Amino acid sequence: MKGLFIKVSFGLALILGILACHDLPTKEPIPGDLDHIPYDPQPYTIVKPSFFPNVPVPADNPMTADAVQLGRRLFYDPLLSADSTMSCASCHLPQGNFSDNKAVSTGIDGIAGKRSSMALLNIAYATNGLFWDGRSPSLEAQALLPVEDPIELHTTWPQVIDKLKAHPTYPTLFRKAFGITDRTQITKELAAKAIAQFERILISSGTSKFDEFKQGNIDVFDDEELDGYLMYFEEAWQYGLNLPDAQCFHCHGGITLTGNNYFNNGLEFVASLDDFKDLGRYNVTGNNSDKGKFRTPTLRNIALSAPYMHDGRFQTLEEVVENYSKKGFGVANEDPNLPLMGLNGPNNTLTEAHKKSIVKFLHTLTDTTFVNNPDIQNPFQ
Amino acid sequence: MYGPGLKYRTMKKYLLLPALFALAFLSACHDHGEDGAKADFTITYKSSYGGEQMTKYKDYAFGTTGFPLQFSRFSTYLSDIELIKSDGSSHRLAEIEYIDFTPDNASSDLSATPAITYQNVPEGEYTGIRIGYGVKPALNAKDPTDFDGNHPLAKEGEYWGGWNSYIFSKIEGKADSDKNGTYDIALLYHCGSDAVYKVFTFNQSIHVHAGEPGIAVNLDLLKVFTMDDDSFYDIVTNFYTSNNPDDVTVAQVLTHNFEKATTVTQ
Repeated sequence: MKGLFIKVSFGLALILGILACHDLPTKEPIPGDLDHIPYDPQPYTIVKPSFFPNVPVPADNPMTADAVQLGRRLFYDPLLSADSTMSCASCHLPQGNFSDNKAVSTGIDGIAGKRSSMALLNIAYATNGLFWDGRSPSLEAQALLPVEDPIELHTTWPQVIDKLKAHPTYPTLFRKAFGITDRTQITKELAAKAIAQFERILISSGTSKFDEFKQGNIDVFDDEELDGYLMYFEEAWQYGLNLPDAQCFHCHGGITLTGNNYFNNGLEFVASLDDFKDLGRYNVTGNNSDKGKFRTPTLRNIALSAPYMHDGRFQTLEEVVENYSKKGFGVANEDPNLPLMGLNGPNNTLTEAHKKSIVKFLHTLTDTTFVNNPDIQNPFQ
Repeated sequence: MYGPGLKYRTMKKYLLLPALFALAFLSACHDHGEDGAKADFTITYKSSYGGEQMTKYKDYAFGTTGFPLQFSRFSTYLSDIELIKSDGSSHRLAEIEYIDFTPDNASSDLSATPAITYQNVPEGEYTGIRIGYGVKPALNAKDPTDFDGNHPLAKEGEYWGGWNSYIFSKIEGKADSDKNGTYDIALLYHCGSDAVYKVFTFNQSIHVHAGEPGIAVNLDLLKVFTMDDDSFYDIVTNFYTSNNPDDVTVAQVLTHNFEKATTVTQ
């Protein structure tokens, strides 16, 4: 009897041991442990409005359905932080146009950063540097940084990779996305590629009121919105109207409403360029005249992206337009468009009615179809 | 026994092979023969002010009173850049180029000198170079959504829907017109629309041979703002390009001046 008990116990322990080992790494990785899982990458076609340009995709990271899904999981997975409390999405929430609606973002240790999280809508088109200062040349390069930033996810890639290798699901997802043959081949570079692929699908739906107007439905705007549009794009002449130029489109032009260039957009007076609290683009280029310059964000969905500017200093669009109406502060490297704000208006200024119209126009850029798109929501909910 | 079919197949075999060899020989001659030799040819684009390499945010003297003038941005599109032969024929080096003298990634304020190498340029002697200033009408009818990725015309910030035109050139800066220490004039010249497009030919002996230096095409901003009678352009009154494509007077003046502002050297 006792012998039978020992045999049964040994058998159960053996079975449990085998089951437990099924998806966990062994101390000695088994070469080819993922080889049995089919690898059949299917090209992923990015959904975009017909009037948007093709999305730039790097040759070494072609879009596939499995990689996009892997990237989506990684983007929303708090596993990427040291204490598993925060993910990329903690600072880039769909409802905030993939920003966090805070003046500056706070990491896992409760330490506030110095800049606001940037909206990720149409980030695939930003090929002139990423972050407010443009320090990352690509989405793939950018995705590597927050994980190890001590005021963001504050962990290390080796720790994250260990967790991914030990995870019951991720090794299979990496296999399907990138054709790796065993879990030891999971790398931070592949994780970043997957996240970048997910970010490349964050494209406008093309259904905003502004898009309807641009597609020919000129009655979609009310009078104030139309005035705002005409001042923003300086197209009043087309309608024989006498409206001031708001100069917005010079920096926020094109279909994505940003040229992704770097400007001192006249936020404040400083006696010298060295007095900027945040030196911005200068930290990347080392060029003295880049002090206080930051990358222009898209204005699409801007009403969902408050607060505004790199440090979130303005809570409302009204405050933003009010500041621009001051025409800058005469700082050496301010953009020359600033003093021209309100050109051709009464005393070359914007009236309160003009400012109100511009804000009303900015609200027509709201694209709720995008932020509610089920394909880009948290897959864990 | 096999009939005409075999004869045809045999003929085909014996005719096709020599034909292929001949074709291969001719192709080889095209690239490497004495008359068909080709070389890489580099154009270095430069910008200056009064002959001195332009530097952003540097004070330059302008006008009869020599008031301070600064530049913060200078970029331009160039179309159909062609080398011209003595027989009037030409070789097109590029259909479109975007030349940015003040790129965002510069580590200093000294203007950039982008050097672009054109490949497979027929070697020989050329009598000049022809350059279209701006975006030629056939391309200007398109917009950034028609182009992919890094194409020069994919740049969203270089297109204005209100004009239905690319912004052919951007010259931005500021001036202290009364010399009181305060920059009282913002200068913003964004030139565009088909009416502004100009093609200029620069007669200059240009040698294209492997291993030899290419040419430099220099644009001098002082000359852009100097009229044909050598007077200074009135930037105090005309500090801004019109927002109305039916009134492109300022843009046309500046583009006209690009001709004398351009020097080609080898």
